[in-house]
Amino acid sequence: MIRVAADTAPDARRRGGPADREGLLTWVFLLPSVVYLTALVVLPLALAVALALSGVTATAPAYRFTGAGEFASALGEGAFWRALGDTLLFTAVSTVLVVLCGQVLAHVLLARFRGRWLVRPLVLLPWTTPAALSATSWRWLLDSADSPAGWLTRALGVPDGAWHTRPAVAMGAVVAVHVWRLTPLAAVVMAAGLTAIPRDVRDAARVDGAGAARRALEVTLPLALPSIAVAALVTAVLTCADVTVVAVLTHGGPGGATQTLATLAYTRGAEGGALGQGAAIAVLLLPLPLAGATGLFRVVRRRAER
Amino acid sequence: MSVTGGLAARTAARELARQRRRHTVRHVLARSVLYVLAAGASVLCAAPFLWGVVTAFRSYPGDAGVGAHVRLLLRSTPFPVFVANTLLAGALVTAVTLLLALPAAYALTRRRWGGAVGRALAVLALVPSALLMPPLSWTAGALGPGDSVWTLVLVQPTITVPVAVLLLGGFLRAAPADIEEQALVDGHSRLAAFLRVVVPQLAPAIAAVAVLAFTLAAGDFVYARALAPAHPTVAAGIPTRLAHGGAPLWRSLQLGVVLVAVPLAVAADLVLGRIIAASAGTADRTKA
Repeated sequence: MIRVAADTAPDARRRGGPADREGLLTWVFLLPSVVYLTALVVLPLALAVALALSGVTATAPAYRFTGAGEFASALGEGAFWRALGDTLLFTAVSTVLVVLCGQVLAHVLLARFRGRWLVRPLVLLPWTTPAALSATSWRWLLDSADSPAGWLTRALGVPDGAWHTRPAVAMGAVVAVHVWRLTPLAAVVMAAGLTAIPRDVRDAARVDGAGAARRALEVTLPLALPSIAVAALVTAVLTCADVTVVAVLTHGGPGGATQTLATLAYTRGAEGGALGQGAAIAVLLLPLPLAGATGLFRVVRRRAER
Repeated sequence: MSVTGGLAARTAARELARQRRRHTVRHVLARSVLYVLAAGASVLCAAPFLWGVVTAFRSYPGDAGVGAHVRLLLRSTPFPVFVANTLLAGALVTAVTLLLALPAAYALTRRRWGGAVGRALAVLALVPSALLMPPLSWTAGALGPGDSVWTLVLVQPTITVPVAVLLLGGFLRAAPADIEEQALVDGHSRLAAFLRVVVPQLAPAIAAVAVLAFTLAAGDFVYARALAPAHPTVAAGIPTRLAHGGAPLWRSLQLGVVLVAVPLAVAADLVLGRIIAASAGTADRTKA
């Protein structure tokens, strides 16, 4: 007892060694992450801009400054503008569909019912499976003539196994896989928003005689709106910067119809070896996720203020 | 008097029964909709994998059945090597992620400027890998370990560390601070309080973040494909090395995909409630 009393005296703690000095400890705790992320994200970002201003390729890796030549050639290309259009289209359509499907799935995730031990892992599959493997699996499903997907594409007037030769069908397939892949993640984000709504708010509305539809529309929806916005922005950022789905599902085809900015950068840089050009296209893509991030902060800050 | 009283009572009883019936009908309807939605969502979410299993078990002319598919996958393809690479890289990336993110998250939640740093981290988490790939592959040959799993261990934490710090921050804010304060009052140093009180208290959260980090590392395609092409993980190896053959090989591949997908989903399901709770900053209300 006496020992405890002595230890709680304020000066007893202030006399402690380095393990007690809060300022120092904070920096020791933060430093590894800061150094690591600086070395492998911040510096490479700067280097990406430097590469974009060079003509570096995998076979001629020596750095030589060429000015804005790669940017100019990218901006002068029809393929670039087509990829930009596809990026915006895929992102907009996927985001809307993901939010709608995610709302439904969020309620399923939170509900209690028999068999949910089986339903929950099944519903998480699109999120947890590596996207490259999911896309491989989707290709097999879409290619199989005697599968439900085959019946669907045949109903759309596409011959067996030819879905990837029709631009509209290939684009639809890319959007479908994005929506399928990101809906569970959006549902988890929105489920988190729904659990944060105090139960008594909804109960009070029920006592006041608000019907189920009115409760959903006038009580739950406004309170859930910030998490819906977060889910939408995360979906948009992950869709517009994604390489994997297009690279594995359609490889940008047919004839570049499903190429996005990220996959164009990846195809040129990683597969074509034109690192400078890949970097230039990726730098031009950067404003899209940055805009998404800015939107995210606005939403989160507004939620914190409330 | 008594007649009207009896009438009133009977009307009230009838009204009550009517309301109860309506309530039951509505309840049954709501439950049916829920079950239909849950069943539909399960089938849609599992669709490509279900189809993979269906095609593996169906018999086709010239095909030797599901046992042969498994044997082909495990003995005649590099699938086991891909799995070993994924497990090695994933485990090491997860360990590095926790070692970096745990102290960082603790330091940030205890500081007033933690929010600003958290926002900076969120930006880093959103930098597309397509943008980082050219500079990383340009320097990987010169500085890094070259075409090997170790390059992935070095690079993949860029995907996981920002997310892990943000999520652990959410867990830390929800955790009660008084046990930790008590440890300080009892004469433990900050460091000792962190190691002996905060870390054990966070064990369930650490498990959740570990599952997430492993899943993200295993899901990486861009770096794995570009930086370690000779030592592919399943995500890079299956689509680029194996997805070119004929239908029998494809049927084996689909089983391989299912073998990877199911454990990851089951692991995520075990920690899902905690992840929802951490992002909501509330108590765990989704536990089964």
